Amino acid sequence: MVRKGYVLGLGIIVAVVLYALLGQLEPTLIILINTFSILVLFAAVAYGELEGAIMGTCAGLIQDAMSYGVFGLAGLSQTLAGFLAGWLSHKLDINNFYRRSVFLFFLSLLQLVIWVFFYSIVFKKSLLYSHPAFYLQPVFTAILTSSLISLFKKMSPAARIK
Amino acid sequence: MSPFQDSKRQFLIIGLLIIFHLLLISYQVPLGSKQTLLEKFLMVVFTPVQKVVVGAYEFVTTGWQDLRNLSQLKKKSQELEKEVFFLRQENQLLQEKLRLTLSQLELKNNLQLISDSVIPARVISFDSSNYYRSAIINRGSADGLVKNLPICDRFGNLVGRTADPITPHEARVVLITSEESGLAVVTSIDKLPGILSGNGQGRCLVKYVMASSPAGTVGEEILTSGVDRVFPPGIRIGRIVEISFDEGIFKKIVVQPYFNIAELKLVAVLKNTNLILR
Repeated sequence: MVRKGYVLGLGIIVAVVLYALLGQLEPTLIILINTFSILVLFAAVAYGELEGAIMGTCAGLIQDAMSYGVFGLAGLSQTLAGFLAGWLSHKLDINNFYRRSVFLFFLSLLQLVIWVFFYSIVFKKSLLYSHPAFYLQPVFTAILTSSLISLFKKMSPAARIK
Repeated sequence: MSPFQDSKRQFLIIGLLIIFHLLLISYQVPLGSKQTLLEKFLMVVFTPVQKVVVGAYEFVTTGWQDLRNLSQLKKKSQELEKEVFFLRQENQLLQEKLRLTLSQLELKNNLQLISDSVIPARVISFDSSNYYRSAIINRGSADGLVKNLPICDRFGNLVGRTADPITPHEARVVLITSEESGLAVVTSIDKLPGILSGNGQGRCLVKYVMASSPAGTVGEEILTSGVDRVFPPGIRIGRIVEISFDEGIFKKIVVQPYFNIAELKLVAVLKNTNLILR
């Protein structure tokens, strides 16, 4: 059984490295693929609501630190999304890849909505029309996270997700 | 611990985390544009990671490119030699012209100042909330960088200016496509003055130009005017792509910047603009 701490620690490192790399390849990619969201939702579904919330805090604050905006915006949205993802995944049956993808799509959309909402309060302007790639972020997040969870299930049969 | 107590503990933890985040956000907002110690510390911690990743990526892609281009190296070398030859000739002619007005010592000092004034830098990341807003470069206060220094791309087109936070080895750059940018500009043909600011979506707007003014045509080039004493005059910014009259008493002039954000890897920091503004 893969140890939780190592998985999540490695996950943070991979998320940071991928985030930096994607920005170099093409700036649009860091809007399309939010590696921190993927990590938070994965941790929430794989390990639970508490792990999701704590990972949301850590990953969200790192995302804020690397985006040079107001510190805590992404942290708040990722914490809430992580907690809700973990809590709801316990109550719903998300065994099936497609069902899980739809579930993660809505959680990712919720995270984005919370972030955009607080961003508009702090900066008094909307991000809704800033870039079309924004609207595709939940789709990519859902598919990539669901795929990652399927892979994790194969590697770690004793994990929480069945 | 019973499931009820376990659930209660989890909600308590999530509640505390939310309060922590709200306090963190509310602590920063009243400070406006001033950077907190926490933000500077985090920038010092995380930008080296980005630098390492970017460096590794550049190493791999450059190595691969070199392997692929081995056969073309000779041709490229000849082209570069030819370019250097013509640049040397041009430099010599320009120096000759300067000698007519300046003494030998003044000329030598001025040329040395010019070469010391330009610092090359690499872009290591963009703002993820809106990459047209700002970027981070791998030069900082240890290289003599301060706030409000002009940044140009490798073709000499204006990209933006340095802004806080500036750490010893990294600095934030506010791009001209950001809504928080503002610089004095002039059109190349009609010499129409205006203030250029970004629209946050990859283009710029020239503001405060009266709708009744006949100057400004589509296709005209926009340059810095130097009036703001921040950007030297004559730096290329972009071209006018659209002019409309739906902004009340002012025209709406949309400018497409020359710099390409997808290719923005190397930039030049103009450290000593006083030399050019004199």
